[in-house]
Amino acid sequence: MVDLSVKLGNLVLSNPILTASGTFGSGEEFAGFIDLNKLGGIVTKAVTREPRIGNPYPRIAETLAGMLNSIGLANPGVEKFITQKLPFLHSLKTKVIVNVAAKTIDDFAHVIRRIESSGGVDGYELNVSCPNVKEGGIAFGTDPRITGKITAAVRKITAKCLIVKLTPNVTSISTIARAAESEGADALSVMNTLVGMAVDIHSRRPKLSTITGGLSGPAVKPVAIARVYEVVNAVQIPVIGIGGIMGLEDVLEFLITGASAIQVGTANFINPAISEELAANLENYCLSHHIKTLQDIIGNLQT
Amino acid sequence: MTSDIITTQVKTTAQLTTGKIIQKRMVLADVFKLSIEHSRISRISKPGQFVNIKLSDQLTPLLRRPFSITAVNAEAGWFEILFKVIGEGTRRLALLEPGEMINLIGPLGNSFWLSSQTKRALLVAGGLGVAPLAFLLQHLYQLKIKKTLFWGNQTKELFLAYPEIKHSCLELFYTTDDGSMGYHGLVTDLFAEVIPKFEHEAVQIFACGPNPMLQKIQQVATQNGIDCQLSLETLMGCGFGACMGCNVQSASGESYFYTCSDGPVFNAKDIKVDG
Ligand SMILES: Cc1cc2nc3c(=O)[nH]c(=O)nc-3n(C[C@H](O)[C@H](O)[C@H](O)COP(=O)(O)OP(=O)(O)OC[C@H]3O[C@@H](n4cnc5c(N)ncnc54)[C@H](O)[C@@H]3O)c2cc1C
Ligand SMILES: Cc1cc2nc3c(=O)[nH]c(=O)nc-3n(C[C@H](O)[C@H](O)[C@H](O)COP(=O)(O)O)c2cc1C
Ligand code: FES
Repeated sequence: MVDLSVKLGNLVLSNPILTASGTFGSGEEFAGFIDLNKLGGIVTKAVTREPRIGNPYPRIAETLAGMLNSIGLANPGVEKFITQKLPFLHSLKTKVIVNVAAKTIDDFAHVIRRIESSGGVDGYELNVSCPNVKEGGIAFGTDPRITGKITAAVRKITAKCLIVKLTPNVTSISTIARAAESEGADALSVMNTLVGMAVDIHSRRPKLSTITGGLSGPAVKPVAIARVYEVVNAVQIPVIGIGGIMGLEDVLEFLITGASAIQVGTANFINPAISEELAANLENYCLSHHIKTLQDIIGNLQT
Repeated sequence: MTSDIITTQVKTTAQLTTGKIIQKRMVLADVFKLSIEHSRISRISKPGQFVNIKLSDQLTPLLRRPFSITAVNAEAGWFEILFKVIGEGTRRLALLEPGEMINLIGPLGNSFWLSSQTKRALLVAGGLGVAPLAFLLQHLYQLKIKKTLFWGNQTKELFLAYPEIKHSCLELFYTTDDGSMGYHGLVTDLFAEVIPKFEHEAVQIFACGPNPMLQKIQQVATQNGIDCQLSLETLMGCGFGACMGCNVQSASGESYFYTCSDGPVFNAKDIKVDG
């Protein structure tokens, strides 16, 4: 038997494989492809206080081994989330983490309060790192003071697992990481997308309507690994590694670097069964390598 | 061929699956038709639906590429796609040979739907936009209604190389941009000229092609008060509702639909087609 369970604050995941926000809908989109209960957990698309329609077309562009997106946090708003998505999420055995985005500290608090009073979920991931919105998003996540304030405000509202999702688009990610940790975050997600841009040489126009967007996919993995390395060395709380995971080797690379869990993002679009496959492959790997607990891998980087 | 008649819009559950290429036909130097063995998809797909194909085990192209189902043979258990090489993904698709397996998700999206009042179906295709309409015709041949296809291309080559579309029950109008065959001009111009002829018939329009063409068809349909369905092509990150990258403006411009999960077939009244 292998023990794949990991702890994020008081939240116990049966395995370290989570799905990344914005790449897994609200889970229901994948129910026909996989058994959601085989995952460590799912992280929902960002939920905001009011409905958001998102940015104009085109919102995605494929790049070399990656993709740019500027979806712009399109979502039906917290009230519709509660009536339309939450009942399905409540029917799952897997852990559910809601990604929350907001323009103000009050709005973060409002969204989480509303979900808490509607039966709650297992945890919240604060999105202070979206590069595709004008207000909030990355503007919060590049400022340690605001990141700390948001974390502190939300910490007062919920005892559930509180995760802060960091942006790599900063000079010092460890400063932001420490600000979130000291205000009570249970874990940190590293990382959101990198700001990127692509131009169509025939029309000479940017490939995204918003000109720049967020880069994700295998192209960003080395950046993500470096950010995880930096953050695990700066804080005591668990880190969730995100960026470019396509296969088991990538998962192991993040765990060895020190991530306690991982999220798989863009790969869900290409292989909607990838998350369940990764959970199974990780278990097989541990069995065949006589690894009894993930603690033998996590952070076991030889430097 | 299935004997179902599409009087309502259908959605089916997509599967992540593989299919074997059993036949490949080079229609033109850059246009190919592949027959793919897959009993479930050939059985349950409806006109308008598509499959999303993974074209590499490596990282380029990274995302899947969507293709309309252009024909099915439910008894023999295969379906077909018709495509044009325009970039790396379609270049790789064209290199595949019979016997090779392809990784696909499908059937995806909704389908065209036919009103029970309709006495004549007017189909308008621009270039390879004929792909889903050919599948629609396959269904319509079982019905007593009249069928007219307006098919526009830049040159005559595709018409000559694609006799499959001809059928004794089909009234067919060709148009070419260069005048090499049929009406010299845009398919939308011919369509606008001809449409008054059908004034007293209960008609429905089904169109697929480049956006400027769809915009014009939408206008003509609105002016003449005709029920019209447009099959759209947008970029797609996933094809099954997860990435939200395939947005289409609603008619009011105040919200978005998603091509893969709300479409690709839309009622022309509901949407604003980008130029
Ligand atoms: C529902 C649906 C059904 C489709 N059915 C067919 C079909 O039956 N036959 C067929 O030949 N093609 C079809 N397409 C289009 C087909 O998916 C594209 O041609 C293909 O994805 C191109 O991939 P590529 O890697 O070869 O080109 P890329 O390198 O990805 O693209 C080449 C260029 O074309 C542009 N482009 C690519 N796809 C689109 C698009 N959908 N809209 C606007 N610009 C685009 C790119 O931005 C780029 O500039 C369909 C698309 C959709 C959404
Ligand atoms: C289409 C798309 C939408 C995304 N939406 C969100 C979002 O709503 N909230 C968020 O925190 N991150 C969002 N992300 C970022 C991902 O959760 C993840 O951090 C990033 O894609 C890197 O992981 P990957 O390389 O495995 O995709 C989105 C990414 C993509 C590609
Ligand atoms: S293509 Fe991903 S949501 Fe439509």
